[in-house]
Amino acid sequence: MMIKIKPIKPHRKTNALYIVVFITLIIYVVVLLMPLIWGLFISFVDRDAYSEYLHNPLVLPTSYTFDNYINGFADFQIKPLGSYTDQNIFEIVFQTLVYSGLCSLAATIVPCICAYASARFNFKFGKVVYGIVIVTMAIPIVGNLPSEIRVAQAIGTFDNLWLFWIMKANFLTIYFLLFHSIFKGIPMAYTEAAKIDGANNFRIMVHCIMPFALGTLGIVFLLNFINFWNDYQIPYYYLPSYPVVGTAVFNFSLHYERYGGIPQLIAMIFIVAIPIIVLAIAFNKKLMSNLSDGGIKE
Amino acid sequence: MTKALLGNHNKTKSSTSSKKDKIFFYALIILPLVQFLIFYVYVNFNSILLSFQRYDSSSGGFVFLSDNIFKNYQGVFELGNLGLDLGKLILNSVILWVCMVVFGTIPAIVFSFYIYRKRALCHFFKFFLFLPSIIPSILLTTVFKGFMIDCISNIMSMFGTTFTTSSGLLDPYSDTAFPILLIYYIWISFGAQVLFYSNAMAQTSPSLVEASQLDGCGEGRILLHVVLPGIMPTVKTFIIASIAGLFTNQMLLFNFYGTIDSAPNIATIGYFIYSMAAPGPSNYDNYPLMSAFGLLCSVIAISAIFVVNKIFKRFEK
Repeated sequence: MMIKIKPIKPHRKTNALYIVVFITLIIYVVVLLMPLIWGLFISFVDRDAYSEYLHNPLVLPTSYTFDNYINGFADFQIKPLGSYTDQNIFEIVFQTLVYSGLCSLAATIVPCICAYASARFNFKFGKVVYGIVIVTMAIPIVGNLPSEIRVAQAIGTFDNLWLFWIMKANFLTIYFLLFHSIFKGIPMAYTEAAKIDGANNFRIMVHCIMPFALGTLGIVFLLNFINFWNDYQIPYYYLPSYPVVGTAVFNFSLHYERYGGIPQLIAMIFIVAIPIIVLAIAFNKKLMSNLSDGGIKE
Repeated sequence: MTKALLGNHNKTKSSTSSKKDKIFFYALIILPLVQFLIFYVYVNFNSILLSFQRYDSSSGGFVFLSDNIFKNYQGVFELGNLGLDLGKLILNSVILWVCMVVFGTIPAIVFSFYIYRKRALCHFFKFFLFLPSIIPSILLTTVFKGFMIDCISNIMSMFGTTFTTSSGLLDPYSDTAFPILLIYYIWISFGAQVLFYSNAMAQTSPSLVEASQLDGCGEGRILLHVVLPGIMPTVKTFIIASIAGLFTNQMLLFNFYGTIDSAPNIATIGYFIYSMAAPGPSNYDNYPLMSAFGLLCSVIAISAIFVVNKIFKRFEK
């Protein structure tokens, strides 16, 4: 008969520092959640009950309704610049998916491929590429937005939903360094062995080396996707004819009285935020894990 | 003879392979390189040119200044013409940067240490510290704005506080808006730092921590003398990277107030530049001025990075 031995938990002293940090963090969570919970409550309050609530905000409204979500869904329409017809929520979500999907794909694959080229081939120009990334990350450039807009207008990526991703297909990001360290950590023996077996450079990249970075690729794509989905400032300027959910919500928030007041506005925001919150919760462990995990484990 | 032939054959094979490698290498990077040349090199070069130009409404393009080539640079110091106070813009941006570095970095390190030492509810806290980075900022700001105006300001009114406008505590012309938004911004900005610091702390050798514990070090001393020196390069990187933020950080003001006309006296430089760069003929007049302003900010930021880097190096010695 096997005897199970319980592992002895190390004795941990309760420390004043930890008590203070614990209390601070509890306060942090409460303060962070308080407006969100308030918002969730308010999103179920009808306009009249909300007006009454404003006179006595210490007492929460007693009657709740799902109408704000139903009306919010129906009112989720926006007239893009230069158009005479409104776009509905499905069109806006489709545009957001195209914008976020293409941009995050470009912003993930390009640094990965450039990092692969720079790390796996011993050419001087590979080191130049690495140097470019370091220098551009260290040197902050401020105020080039007007120039970028003008260049985008001249090239044709401005207000072009299907080509806008080109502007995001750059390798000057921290993800380049991340992929570079992963590819550099994989022994060259893998490449040499594959070459002896007759594999060409493309096959070596796709079948031998990339699988080591697949996990990181997935996380980087997800992080980029969440960023692009949540972003409204870039599409607000660069894609005026193709409103994305963020742009639409920002417009609603400027003219909320037209959209059933604050309760319906908050309901509308929750409608479009729920998919991304669900996605983030589903992958929260992956998102918060160490991104440098990858390559070969010793 | 055979050896010589074989050697020659190997040489030819290796040179063919090297040529193929070279072709493949350049095939991989050629398009990203073109993108870099257009959207980084040319955009920034054009930004410099733009700072010496003016918008010509008749031709719909930008032409070089003929009378006073530095007119746009002079214009940076005459922002009063646009109803803005340059001193206030700089002051607000500096306050934001200093507060982010001091009140953002120190708590982030302490929180990360708590998570690294796996204390009570550490995973729960890690999730909530990271949550604001996932939730759309427009959701957070809209809900917070509603909460502060319709709930907190109204409660304060019930207890005798009078507000001049319906925006209550967030009235951009009041003394309360800037500090509240500043605290709120710091409050929701811990996520990335905590993630990076706790990952950096995980690289600390456990035997080092155990040895210091055996020597009688308390947790505070372990943090200060064992863990902190190990994560100093990460902290340094964050602080240096934050210098650019001095001129680009908008403190979510665009989310709260829209364009700068609504909140000129609490504006930061980042908010100002973004707000004035809206595309459209009505704003093209501002483009050269914004480019000149941005260029001056870039020069200051680059100099500041060198200074901060030197200060860090002196400390390291």
